[in-house]
Amino acid sequence: MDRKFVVLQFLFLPLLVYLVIIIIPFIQSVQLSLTDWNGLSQNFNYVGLQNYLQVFSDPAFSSAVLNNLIWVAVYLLVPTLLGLFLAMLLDKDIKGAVLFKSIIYLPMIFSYVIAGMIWTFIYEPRMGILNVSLEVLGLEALQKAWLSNPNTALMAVITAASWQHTGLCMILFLAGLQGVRPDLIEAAQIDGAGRIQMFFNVIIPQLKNTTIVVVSLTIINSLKSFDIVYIMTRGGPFRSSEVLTTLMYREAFWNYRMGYGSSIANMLFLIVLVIIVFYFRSVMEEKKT
Amino acid sequence: MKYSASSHHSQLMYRIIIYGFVVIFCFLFLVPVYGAFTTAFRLNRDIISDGFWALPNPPVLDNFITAFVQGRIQIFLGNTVVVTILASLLSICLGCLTGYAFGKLKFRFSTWLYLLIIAGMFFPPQTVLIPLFRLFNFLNLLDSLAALVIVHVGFGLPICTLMLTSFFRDIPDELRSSAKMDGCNDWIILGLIMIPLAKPALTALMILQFTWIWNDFLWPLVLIKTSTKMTIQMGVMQLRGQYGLAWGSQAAACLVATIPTLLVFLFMQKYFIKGLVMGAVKE
Repeated sequence: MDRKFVVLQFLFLPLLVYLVIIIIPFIQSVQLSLTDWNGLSQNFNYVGLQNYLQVFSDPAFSSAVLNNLIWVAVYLLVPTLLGLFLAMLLDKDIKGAVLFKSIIYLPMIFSYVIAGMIWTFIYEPRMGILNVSLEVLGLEALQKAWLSNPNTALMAVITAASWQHTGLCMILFLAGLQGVRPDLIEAAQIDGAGRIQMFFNVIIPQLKNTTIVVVSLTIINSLKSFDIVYIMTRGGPFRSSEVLTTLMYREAFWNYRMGYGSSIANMLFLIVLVIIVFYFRSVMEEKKT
Repeated sequence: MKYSASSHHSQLMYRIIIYGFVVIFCFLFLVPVYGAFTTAFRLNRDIISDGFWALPNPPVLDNFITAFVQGRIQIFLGNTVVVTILASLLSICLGCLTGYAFGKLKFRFSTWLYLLIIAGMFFPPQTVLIPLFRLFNFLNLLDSLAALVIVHVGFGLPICTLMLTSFFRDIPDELRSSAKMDGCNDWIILGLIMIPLAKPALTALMILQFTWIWNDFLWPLVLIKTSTKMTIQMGVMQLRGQYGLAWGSQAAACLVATIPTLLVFLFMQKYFIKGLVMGAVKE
């Protein structure tokens, strides 16, 4: 009895905050997604699953999902692999490794807002460094108005975000490499393994858990991206860089369709939930072994 | 770690290739930072005539003066300091409570409750954006810094719980039981024994929370309307809207807004990295 009371003393306040900020609003979000609330009026009607049916037939939703998938794919290919690659290179005691690592981490300290603004300078059509460099290289044909061209806007934003995400991947891989057992490396060396063999057959298998963590975080981060898109393109032009978060924001806070916005947010939650479950299960398994 | 040296020559080649790659990537990573710096210290007319990337000649502080005098970013900075410090401290305090409960006390459903809270780390804020907007509207807290603090405490709880639970769990139980025998209750044990021991974890948490809350944009965007209550990230964005092509003052405001996180990064890098790794890898 006494012990239960102690637990209650400790958990009461934090659980209250968590209930009010996360759990109850989440339940309300499910509830709101079944209504046609416009965000302003006092009353609203329950419309059943209509919002969800509409979500699935909304071309804006499917194109946002597709853009999110592209984002995930690029994030897994570029910052994740680059992070692994740089971690492999900088794990050795080469001269200046500390400085090089710091430079790769540096982008992480900028907010997405500021990163977005800095990269807007880079993409600026007339004076930005991208087009200026292309001109210097004699590649004027490739010059574009990167952020206002529907074909390039999404990739331009993802590139800017990748600049920030690489550091996190590298940090995690470097931490994972600390756990790689030197005796296995030595054994492989004695067996005459080359560098590439060593990488794929000895190091990669030992980085399995780190990789699961990095991949999960990368997917979740890419699904949650909002700030940088909002700053650089607001999802445009012509919704070419729209992702689920910006679509939700647009519907809820610009078009005053709170019910519809909630249903988009809940779809996003479902997708993230799948990844969280996968992530927790693999981390728990690692704990057991 | 050292790999087999098939010959001295190939080892040397390998090193040169590594350096080559690393230097190229570091260069690429620094280009945007250089752009922000050089733009902040140049006059707008020079930017328009010579492009973004020329060196400041000579460097001028006009943009910083504009950002403070016309953009009044000191107001945004002040608001952000208040929100960031309050929310970081409060979420860490709550994390000490949950950390102690999950790490040292045994009770039913503790694992499930723990997982429920930890899962919040990955929770997309969009899911609760509308209900919280409604809640704060109802409480008349819309457009107040208090709303931001409350939200950040809630969203900070998962990471604080995670790190402090694992830290407290690793402190030997004997310490607690002998303190109990001396007549200490759990609050005294937490406050006088556990928290002083947890300084490294608390520092790492403070840094992580500080960086995240300082850099947050979504919540002020949704909850704050009046410009005198905006945080710095919003203020920077607003500056862009107001002074459309004032590249210089935008860049200057961006740099000023990054100083706190830069200082943290320069002086506390070890803790920052440790915190990130712990936050991601611990169960």
